[in-house]
Amino acid sequence: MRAIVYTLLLGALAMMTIGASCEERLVQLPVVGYVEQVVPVNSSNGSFVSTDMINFANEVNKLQQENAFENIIAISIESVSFTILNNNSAAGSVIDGVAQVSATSFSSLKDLATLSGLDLDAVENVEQVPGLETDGVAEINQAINIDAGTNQIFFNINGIVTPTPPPNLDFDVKVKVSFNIVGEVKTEVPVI
Amino acid sequence: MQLKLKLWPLYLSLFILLSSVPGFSQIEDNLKRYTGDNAEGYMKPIVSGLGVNMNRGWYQSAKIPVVGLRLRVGVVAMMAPIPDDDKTFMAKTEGNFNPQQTAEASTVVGSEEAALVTGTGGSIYAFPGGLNMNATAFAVPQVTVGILGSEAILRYFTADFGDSEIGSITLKGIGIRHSISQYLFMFPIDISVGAFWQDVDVDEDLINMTTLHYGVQASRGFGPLMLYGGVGFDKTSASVKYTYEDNYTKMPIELDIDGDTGMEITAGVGFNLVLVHLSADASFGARTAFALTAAFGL
Repeated sequence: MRAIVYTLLLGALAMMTIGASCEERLVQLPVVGYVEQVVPVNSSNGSFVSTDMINFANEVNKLQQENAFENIIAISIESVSFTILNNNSAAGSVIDGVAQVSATSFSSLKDLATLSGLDLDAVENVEQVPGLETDGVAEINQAINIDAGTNQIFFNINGIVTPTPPPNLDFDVKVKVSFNIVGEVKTEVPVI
Repeated sequence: MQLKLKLWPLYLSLFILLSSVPGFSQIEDNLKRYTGDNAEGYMKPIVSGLGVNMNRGWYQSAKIPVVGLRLRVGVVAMMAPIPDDDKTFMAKTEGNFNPQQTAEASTVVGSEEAALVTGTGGSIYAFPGGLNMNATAFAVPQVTVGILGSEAILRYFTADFGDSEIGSITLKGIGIRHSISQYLFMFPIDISVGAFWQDVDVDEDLINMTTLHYGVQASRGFGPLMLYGGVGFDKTSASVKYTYEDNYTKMPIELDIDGDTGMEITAGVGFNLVLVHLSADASFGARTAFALTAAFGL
């Protein structure tokens, strides 16, 4: 009797699965990473300039290893933010400046973002998200390019401060660059 | 042959695996890009689709024996085509992307392609693609016991697939029906009322889905043929839990998603031999769904 029941049910299952099968899908999945770098700024006159290198290699490699993409479609800059930290400048100091980047050297910097009218007291510890410039974004995208990128950028922030020191202009700026990797992951999907 | 027959539970598990739970770990990976409203918009179509499936196949006639016993063991397979409207939703960029934008992006059942949005300076925000599905399907074993004009229907399935794409699934459901026509002397058709409840846990706590269906059924037999139908109300809700994460942040997310809720109408035909009962029906409401049932018993 049990064999009859099983046979009937298996037959029914077979009937029900007619036309049902699985297909492979390559689903495009974005993952987001970011790097942060704290750049000290100190100046004894009315202008300031600070430079640093920002390295993406560890973050890019980590994301690739963790996600085991079949293919990588694109890697692109998503956002950049700046946060003023450790401000020891004169009360009421206001800076007007520009952040610049290059994929190749400090001698070929391109504008990334403008920081205008920042009252250091007012914006200390408050993340600023400026609009980005096309040239600067292109430099970062070139640096993190999967095939030819060096995974590092040359960074510069410069500008003027009012009122003019003394005391010295003295603060740190935390630069946060977020990027996304769009890769393809393989999965099986039932198709009817 | 005997060996193969003993593997029937495995075949059934495999069928359910293949037909009902498309790569839930992949869904979880895609969800990790989303918080809040975006996650709900991304997931809702699969909640609605599976919900409308799970509410089908509870009955194959309105005739419930007042005298004697009904005992049937069977399998119900359900399928609901996914409408085009379910393939996309309006998603909002998150995080520091500037400026914030709303764009059409794939839902979990939509295109595999990521949707890209351009911000200031050519910065890019990417929304995940979907699984590009054309239907949701579900199959479940079902036992029916009827006596004295009432009937209980039970569904149960559990499996742990370890570290596979699926994870684990537990489904339990119960339905109760009662014959109304037994109280109507010489009434030309059979009529019954019923209520049906199910609960499914997928991949530990990734998705917990609950469905409820209640309504009235009618049927009339013509020899071995049975024409049946019903009018009822569907309700589906789901709780989705996952962890939003990037390299520095982990944030638990818990969503409550309501699937399609509303009235549905079912029409079907059954073929009954002495111990073998086959049926097929279609339901029309917020979505269209189809069910095939094969059962053995009295």
